[in-house]
Amino acid sequence: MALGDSLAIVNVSKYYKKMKAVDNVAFKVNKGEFLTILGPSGSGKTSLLKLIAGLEAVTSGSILLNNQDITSKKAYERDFGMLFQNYALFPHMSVFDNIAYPLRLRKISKQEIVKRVQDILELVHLQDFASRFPKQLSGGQQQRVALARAIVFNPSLLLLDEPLGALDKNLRQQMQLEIKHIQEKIGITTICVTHDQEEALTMSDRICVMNKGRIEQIDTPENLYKKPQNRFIAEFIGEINLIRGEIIETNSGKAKVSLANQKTITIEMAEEIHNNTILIAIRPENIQIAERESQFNNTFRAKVVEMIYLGEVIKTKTITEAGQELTLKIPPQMSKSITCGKDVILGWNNDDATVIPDKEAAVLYA
Amino acid sequence: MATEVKTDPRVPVKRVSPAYRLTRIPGLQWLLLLVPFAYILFLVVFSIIGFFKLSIYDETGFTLQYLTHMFTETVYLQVLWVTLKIAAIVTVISLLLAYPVAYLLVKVESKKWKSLIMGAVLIPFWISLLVRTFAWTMLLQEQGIINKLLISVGILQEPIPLLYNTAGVVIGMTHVLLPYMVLSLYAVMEGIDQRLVQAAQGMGARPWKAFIQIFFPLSLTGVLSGSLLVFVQGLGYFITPALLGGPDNMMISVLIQRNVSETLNWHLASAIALLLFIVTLLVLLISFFFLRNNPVLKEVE
Amino acid sequence: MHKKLFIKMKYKKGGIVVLKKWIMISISLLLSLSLVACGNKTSTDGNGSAKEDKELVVAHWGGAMTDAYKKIFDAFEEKYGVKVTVVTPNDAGKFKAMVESRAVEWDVANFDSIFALRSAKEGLLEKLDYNVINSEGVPEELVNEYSIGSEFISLAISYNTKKYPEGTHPKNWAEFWDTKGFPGPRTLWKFPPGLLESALLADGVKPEELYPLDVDRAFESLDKIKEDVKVWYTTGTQAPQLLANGEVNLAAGWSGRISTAKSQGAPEDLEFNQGIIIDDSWVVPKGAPNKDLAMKFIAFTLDPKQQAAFSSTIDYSPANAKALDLLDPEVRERLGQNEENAKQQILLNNEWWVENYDKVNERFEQWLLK
Repeated sequence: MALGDSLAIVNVSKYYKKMKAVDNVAFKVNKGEFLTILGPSGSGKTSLLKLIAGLEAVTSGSILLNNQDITSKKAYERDFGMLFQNYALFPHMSVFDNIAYPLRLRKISKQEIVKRVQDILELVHLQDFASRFPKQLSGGQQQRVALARAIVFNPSLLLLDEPLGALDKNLRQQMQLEIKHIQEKIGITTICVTHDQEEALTMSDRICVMNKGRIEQIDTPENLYKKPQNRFIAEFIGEINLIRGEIIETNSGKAKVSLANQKTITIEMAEEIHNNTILIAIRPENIQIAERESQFNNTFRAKVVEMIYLGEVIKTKTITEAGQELTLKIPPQMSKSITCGKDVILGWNNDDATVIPDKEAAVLYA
Repeated sequence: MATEVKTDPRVPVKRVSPAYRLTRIPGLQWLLLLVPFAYILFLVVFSIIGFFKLSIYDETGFTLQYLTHMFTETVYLQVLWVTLKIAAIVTVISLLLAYPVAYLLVKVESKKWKSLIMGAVLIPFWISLLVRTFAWTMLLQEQGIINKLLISVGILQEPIPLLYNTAGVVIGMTHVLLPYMVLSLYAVMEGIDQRLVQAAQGMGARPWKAFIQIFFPLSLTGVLSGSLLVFVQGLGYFITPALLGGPDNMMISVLIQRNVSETLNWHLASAIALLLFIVTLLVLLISFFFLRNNPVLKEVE
Repeated sequence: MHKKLFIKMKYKKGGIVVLKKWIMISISLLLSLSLVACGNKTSTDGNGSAKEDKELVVAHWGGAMTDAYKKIFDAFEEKYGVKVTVVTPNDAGKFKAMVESRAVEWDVANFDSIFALRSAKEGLLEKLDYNVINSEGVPEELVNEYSIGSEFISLAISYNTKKYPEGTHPKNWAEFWDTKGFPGPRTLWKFPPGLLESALLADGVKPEELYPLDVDRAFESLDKIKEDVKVWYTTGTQAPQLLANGEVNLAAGWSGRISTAKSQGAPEDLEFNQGIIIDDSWVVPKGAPNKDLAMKFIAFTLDPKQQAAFSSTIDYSPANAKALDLLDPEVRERLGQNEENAKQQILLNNEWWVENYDKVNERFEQWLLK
């Protein structure tokens, strides 16, 4: 099947009247890659997808498919497969006719259409549903029909617009994997838009996080989680603790930082940060309860203020002596020894922390 | 003497609106349904049954003479044919005119334009039927504005007859019935997901193809309901064909009216009305028969 | 089975209205049928019901005719100290329904004479009390047991004076029928009485030999003119309008309407020769609440003085010939009732029409469709 194509977005902007929906965005999607555009609502991610699909025209910038400019091409000339949030199945056509629709537009012979529709129905496990109508299918089945229809004509690019938004949680997790498997199997270059970070983390090779029309960071799911480059990313993906600090001195990628509790730590810095005020970001699962202070690079004394039982873990909120709120996750068996109101020692390793610039220094006071 | 009701301040009092409480009364919904139902039953169904009874009962008892008269005198079937023909022409023309208007209404995003178009569509509803019909005679006559305009711009050499013929009747009736068609179409088109058309275009369909293959089939429910509404109403039209039509545009309602209030032959009037009623039912049944397997109509929402 | 007939109607702001399609259709069907069945709307001036002897309900035509009668109604009110309530139009269907359901609201009604005779035959009328009503002066053809004539209308050759200036117009029905000698579109009343008479006169039947009408011959004669009849008019206002705006050259028009238009400056005029006189009659519906007062009312309207007043207001002739003497010579001229004209006109035989109207009308409707 298709080997996939590469797509480049070059300084693309889209203005609606004076509102900048997409503001000078640039990135590249590699052949066969699954890239997710993630962002809160209003971040411009859906607008960007519409620009890529050709459903709307760019205000400035260009879009390149395999290094060829397709900016001025209309949607029907772009040959992209698209999966809509509500599936957009044609209610007056059977499953077969829905999937055959893009093939018929391409004037493919009847036998070939029958063969290809059958093949693709097999791929999505819906062989026996060809003559049904969309209304007679469950949500998950409709979703798979829509996916089949989007890829049956071997498009150069597959666009997914909130593909799983309408499904319930169990089905969503199952479909995430199914979509990913099918995408890998046929090797199609895919761009997916979602506001659901779990979905993004599960399916994507890379994630492009957007906020207010701009790209905040493009990276692999692991890097986004572990090495957020700014506060937005840090807070948007997963839960995180932010501790404010002042850089005292820097030395070959390492920085000496003084924290609010008067302690000074030395920490790795990925890139040059010019302000003195920084934030140290630590995931809750990387903070542990220590028996002795010497166990970790860094420790805080804190009081447990709230414990929330989540099954696998207990989400525990604490307040340090300096008034900093820190959240951590502890295994359920520890709940015997730790209760609300108890004083604990919290510890973490420098390796697990990331330094990010504090653009809104005044907001947080640790 | 005031009675003090003590309420426990800790228990929040659930405030329920009186209207909501009404709906809790068992059987009330049925009662509410009963009123309009009785209205229709007594004022429409009973009176119509009573009227139809006249066609088979007269002073001498049961008789089929009035109904057989429908078939032995050719005039009744001829007029019925004319009536069906005119109603059908009016339906087709209003559909052709209303479809683009309804589509525009759905497509136009500006609220101002939308209400402007809607207003233009609804204006005929606000003007008395007689006034409108007379206005058309002014416009359509040989010395009327339309003919004068067409001659002055050189499209016509001499006036064409627009009045007192089928053209006049069709123009007048279409004007009256067009809003029903527009509203029926608009109601259905509003409900069509525009993303379906986008999806089709995304798959490679040129805009007009996406329209023909996706939007149009989905709007068929509106086409059907609008056409039936216009057609059935058109069958009963009376004033417009009488004033704008020629002698060969006699509609069946004119015959009914004449027998009701001119010749006082109510038995015959009833027989004609029954004939019209049966033919209308047949038309409806046939159209449903042919459309029964349309997947769009099967949709139950 | 019915599920597939559901449709969903969405309105932008009005929420969602879900209608079962078949219900919608049957309702619209029933409504359209009931509209047909119920016929014309009736407007009631005043409160319509007459329970006391102090009020008289008169069903009348409406329009110019009723306006012209207003003087007489007022005079009657004054003389008898009662209130006259006028109901328009004189809907025949309503009339029959009222009498049959014994809920008569009208005390007195004015119909065309053919209809008056027909409803007498159907037993819908009270006998007139000729002790109260003085029929002297009214032509005896119009004095019947159940009805009495009220005024004459001449169905006369009418023409556009621009097309036919200075006496070049057709002067009898034969000329009216002559589409070569007098080319151009015509308009005729879509009503067989009078029409068949004019067709026969055009074909050379002598006025005194008209009745019983030779229907076959009349339709053969009508065939000859059919293509030139541009409009078959249904209301009295149409003929003068069509003549005035040049839509037609010739008409068989209602005399009063044409001469009113003429007096208002419209380029049209009348030829009274061979005018066919049709007439209206007063009747009292069976079971009328104020029968006695109704008789007094009819007597009052036939009084020469009142008749003359009527004819001075609208150009229709009085039924009572004695009223003619009270009129200006000029008005008489206008009415087509000077000595000479009166002789040239033909009085419609209502009796013949009562017997034959249904059959002829059916044939006429079919003839129109051909």
